[in-house]
Parts: sequence; structure tokens; C-alpha cells
Amino acid sequence: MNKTSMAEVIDLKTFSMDETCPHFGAFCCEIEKVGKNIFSLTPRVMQWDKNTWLFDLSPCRNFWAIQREKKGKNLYELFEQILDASFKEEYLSVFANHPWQCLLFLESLLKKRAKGVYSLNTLLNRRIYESLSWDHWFRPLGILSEHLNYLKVKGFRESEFHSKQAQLKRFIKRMDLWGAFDLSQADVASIKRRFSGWLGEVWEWTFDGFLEDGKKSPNSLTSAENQINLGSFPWIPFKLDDPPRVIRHLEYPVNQWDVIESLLIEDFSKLCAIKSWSEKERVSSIIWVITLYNLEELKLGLSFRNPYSLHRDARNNFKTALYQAYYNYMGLMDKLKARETDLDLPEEIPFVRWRIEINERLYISPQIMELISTKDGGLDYEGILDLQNKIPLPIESYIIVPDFIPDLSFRSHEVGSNDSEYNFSLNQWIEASFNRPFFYYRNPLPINSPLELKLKFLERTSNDWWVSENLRDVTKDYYLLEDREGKFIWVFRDNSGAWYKHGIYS
Amino acid sequence: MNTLGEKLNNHEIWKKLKSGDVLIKPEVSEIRTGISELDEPFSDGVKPGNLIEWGLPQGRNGRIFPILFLRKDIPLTIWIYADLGLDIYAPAWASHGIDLRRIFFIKCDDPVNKLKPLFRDDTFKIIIIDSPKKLSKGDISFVSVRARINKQVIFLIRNYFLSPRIGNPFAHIRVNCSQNNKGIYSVNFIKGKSLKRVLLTGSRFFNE
Repeated sequence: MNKTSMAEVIDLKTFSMDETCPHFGAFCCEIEKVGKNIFSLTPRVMQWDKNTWLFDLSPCRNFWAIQREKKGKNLYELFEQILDASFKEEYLSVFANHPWQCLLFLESLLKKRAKGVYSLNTLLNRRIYESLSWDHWFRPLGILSEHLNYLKVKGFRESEFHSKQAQLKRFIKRMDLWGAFDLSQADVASIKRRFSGWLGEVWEWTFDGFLEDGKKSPNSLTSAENQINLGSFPWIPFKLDDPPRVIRHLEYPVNQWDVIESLLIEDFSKLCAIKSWSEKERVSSIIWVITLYNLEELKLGLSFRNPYSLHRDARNNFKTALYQAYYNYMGLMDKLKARETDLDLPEEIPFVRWRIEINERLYISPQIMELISTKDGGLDYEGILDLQNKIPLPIESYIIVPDFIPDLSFRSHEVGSNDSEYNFSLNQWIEASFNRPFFYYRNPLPINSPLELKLKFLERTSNDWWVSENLRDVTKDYYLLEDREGKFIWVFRDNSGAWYKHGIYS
Repeated sequence: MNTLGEKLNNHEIWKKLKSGDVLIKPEVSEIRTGISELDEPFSDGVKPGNLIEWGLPQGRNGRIFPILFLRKDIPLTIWIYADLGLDIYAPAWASHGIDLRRIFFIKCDDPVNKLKPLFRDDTFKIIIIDSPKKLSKGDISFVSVRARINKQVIFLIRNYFLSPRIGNPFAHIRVNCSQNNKGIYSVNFIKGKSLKRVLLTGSRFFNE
């Protein structure tokens, strides 16, 4: 079947508008065609094998969410345009919320000779993933073993890993199981016990988010706070060339910020002048390695929540980078002060040398620059992203989710990402929250029965009892409680009659 | 390249001077609730460059009043709240007419020291500092100066009722708000244009 007729029958790329930015991607392309463009979606890349790369999108999720908002199109369509511009349609890329799932899905699509961009968040692609054959499941294990060996991971023994794989293969043959999902009911602990810890780990990666109830599907891994814990997945950063770096040998030992600040401005300027990188690149991480007077080396990381242009920051005297450096400097001074309280030293130990190195950078080629809008979409989200890089705490943003269960009726999301994910009005869910407080306890606090106090019934909420295993949570009766001090408190009584404080009318 | 003369000609101030509009006023946009009983005593107070101090003890449902000012076409707003064990329950904010695309939150106990760049920047036009655990007089002075420079409105919320005996020279309006057990909302001005007490029922502003 040729490509066109296949597309007419079934389009695996059907993306829905409620797609949120995934955490990881896998990318397959001939190595000769891969240059700096491999960093066009994220600065965090790993080379899995000769022609396969993994993307960790976490440093750029906000950035892409905003670009999607500005372009008013689906995120994967935007990714497709960017990758098309960089690799001339001769590639295959898949996105999911775990790198291992990306690799498995990539394997199955490579067999179908697919090209382009695919997301594991669509129902159709999830079904394809669930029909994964054992061949596809076992194939990446060989490379995994090489990476674990390279990293000299503690407790990993290659021979044991291979023998346990052989044991699992014999078991599969005996049981006549076609694909990995035929055995999906086997829990991780059993697999670990029977086929070694590492196969258990892989097992967990394979089914992560696929077997729980609908509330915990990979689609739910979308909040700004959600950081995927890679656990033991062997991530080896891919570097194309030597990173731009500046080394400063101080003429005299120094530890005063006022002096350090002016020297840092000079060093950032020197960094920008290095020709191996350009203003098209956006920085997400800078390493600042400080050598103390006693020649001890300390490594500090200047992390930017959103990739930003150091070259452009030069116009502001590198304010953003300096804020990050200042927070790190303050942290270091506190640490040194605490460490040296027992020593009879007149002041904190000074610095004699440092090295500043661009650790992670996103490459935006001129073709990609054309695809990325620079116009503000009414609201100054760029300003907020810039601010996020300057302050040490995350800025929270929320959207409403169509669910009547109070805890599930909203979620945090990336600043500036599209809020109109639902093509219907959310008014009824918003109205349902009118009697609820502005502040709540994420984990309700158990309280004594308040029946002797003034209570006003507000609402009864019902859980999705057909997916819930805990029948205590099936219904909750919410009340407005006025306590003895005259404070208004949001409380509920669960099915078992236990009372909880869930919020305060502040 | 423009000459200095051309640059001057194009300069906004020069244009205004040439047009005879010598009195250059800042772009004032007063924020109102749309409730006449409240807008009258708050008039000329909730505008860029001003600091309003609120006495809103927890559990008294007083935060509805600063929120009333954020219901209509607000600019980008940030609500900095202290870690008191509570988190933002966003649907309740939306149900009171807050546009969640325009309001952002940060959990921080020591806002001025930890979030100085936020006050130096003019991205957020309304900044609410809710129950800070650390906020010195020097910090309030810094915030009010930055508010004037950046033309920002600052709401400083205290987790206790304000006393008229202890003043705040940086605040244009100081007001205590709460709800009593009969459902009546009380707004008690202790500094501002008119020092009076306004009593409202919930239906008065929930139906607006």
C-alpha cells in the first residue's frame, strides 16, 4: 500500500487540540543529516543508537506551549513543521511521557515505514502501542544494556540481564503470548522477583500510565509541577561540540558579590563573542565552576526555566543571568558559612578562579525562526517567561477541567499555553465551584465530628465509583462549617462518616 | 539614521509639548468593582502607583473584596501568597469572575527579598502580597516606590485586622473586611478618602 492510500484509510497522525506538551520524544534520522538541528526542539538530547536520538523536552515545555498559543495550532503540527524544515521530511519522530515508551513506539512505527511526527497521547496510537509485539519489546534491550554498561550502573550485570531475558523468552513461548500487553497484568514486583530487577524496571517503564484508571493516564501528566522521574533510565547527554566556555583567573582572591558581578558581566560578554555559537541559540543551563582559595572546585548550575537568549540579555547587562548567578552565589555563601563556623577563619573562603560554560542550548535555525512567531498574543507571556528566569520560585497558572469532583476540576498548566483546550463552554463546572473557598488543602485534614457546631450543607459530590477501588470516596457531603472562633471552614463527610477539613474561606 | 533633531521631533514628550499638551499626565486607569457602595469610598484609591492595605484574617471570607477588583478586564496580575498549608483552589476564583489567563500565583513567604526582580519589572500591573511572613517597613517602602515607577497597583493583605493605632504611611487606603455569622459583609475603612463602615449582603455583589 503506498503512502497516499494509507493516509486515506487511516491517519495515525490525527492530533487533537487538547494535546499538551509531552515530556520526551524519540527521533530517527540518518546520522549524516543530523547537525545542530538535533537541538531544535530541546537542548537535552541523548544519542540512543547510530540513527536514533531521544529528546527530553522538560526545559522547553513552556516555550513550546507559548509558541503553540501564538501560532494557534496543534503542538505536534508545529513540531512537524520544525522537524520538516530541519530534516526535509526524512525522519520519524514520536512523543510520549517516558523515553522507553518513545523507543518502543518508534520501533513499531519503523516497521510500518512511517515518516513524520506521532504522539502516543492519541487513542489510535495508544492502541498501536498496546499491540506491541515481543520482538519490538526485546529489540531496544540490547542497546539499553550497552548504555548501562557504559555508565557502570551499580548492580547491573550484563550476563545476568541477558540470561533473564532468555528466561523470559522461554516463559513467553511456553505461555504462547503474542505481545507485551498480553502479560500486562503481571505486576512489577513479580517481574523483578522472577526475572531480575532490571527487567522489572523496563517492565515499569513500558506500562507506566497505561494500566491505571483513566484519571492517571499519560494525558494527565500535564501540570507544570509534574516532573517525570526518569528513575534508573540511563540518560547520557549528547554534545555535538565543545561547549562555549570562559575561564577567569582572578588577579586577587575575591568573594564579594559587587566585585564578582562586574567580572561576570565581562565574562558573559566574552561568552557571547565566542564564534562557535550564535545568537540563534537559546540557553537553558549554564555551569559556573568556582575554584576556592583551598583549590576546592564547586559546581553551580544557572538554570533557566525557559530557554533564553544570552546575546539578547547583553542589552540589559545580562540581568537575567546575573540574577541566577546571584541566587547560586548566595546559596554557596550560606553553605560555606555553615561549613566553616567551626574553623577559626576571619571570613568566608574566597574564590581564585572560575569557569563559565554554556551547558544546554536550544538551536533555532533561520527557517525555524520564521515558523516561530515573535508577536505577542495580546498578553505579555514573554515577559512572564523572562521573569520566571529571574526569580527562584515557579509562577503558577491554572485552568479549569470539566469535572465536578472538587479536586479534579482544575489543574496547573504552563504559563501562556492554550487555555481553550475544550471546544465547549466550561460554565457549568465553573458555576459549580461558586460556594467553594479560594484556598484549599491539597490533602484534606481529618477533624472531629463538628455536628455540635453550625453547619450548612453545600453539595454532594460523587466520585467515578466504577473506576474507584476505595468506596469511602464514592460520595462526599460538603458543608460550610462555622467554628467556635467564627471562622468559616469548608468541610466534608465521606461515606464512612469521617470528617475532613478541605479548605478555608479566607 | 535619524539625526538628533529628528529623534527629538519623534519623541512622545516633544510631540505633546509641541501640541500644547504641556501637562503630561500618567495614564491613569482606576480599578473599580462596579458596586457603587464600594467604589465610592475606594474612589481615586485603587489606581496605578498606589498601595492598599487590607486586614483579612483567615476564615472570615474577606478576600472576596480584593477579588472583586479583579473581576473585569484586569491586566496581568500576580497573587503572591504565603505558605500557610493552603493552595489555590482555582475554580472558585473563576466562579467569581476571575480570568485565569490573566492571574498568576506564587507561593512565597518572603516576597520582597526572594522576588525582587518581580517588583523591578512592570510585567504585572497588579501585585497582591497575601499574608507575607517576612515584610519589613523597608520592604514596603521599596514596593511602594517600585509601584509608582512601574505604575502598578499593590494590594498588601494582612492575615489580621488592621489597627488604626498603628499606621502605614505607604498605604493610600487601609481597610478591614470580613463576613459575620449572619452572612453580612463588613468593610471598615481606617485610612482613605472616607473613613466609614460599609455593610453589604452577599447578594449585592454576587449578582453584579
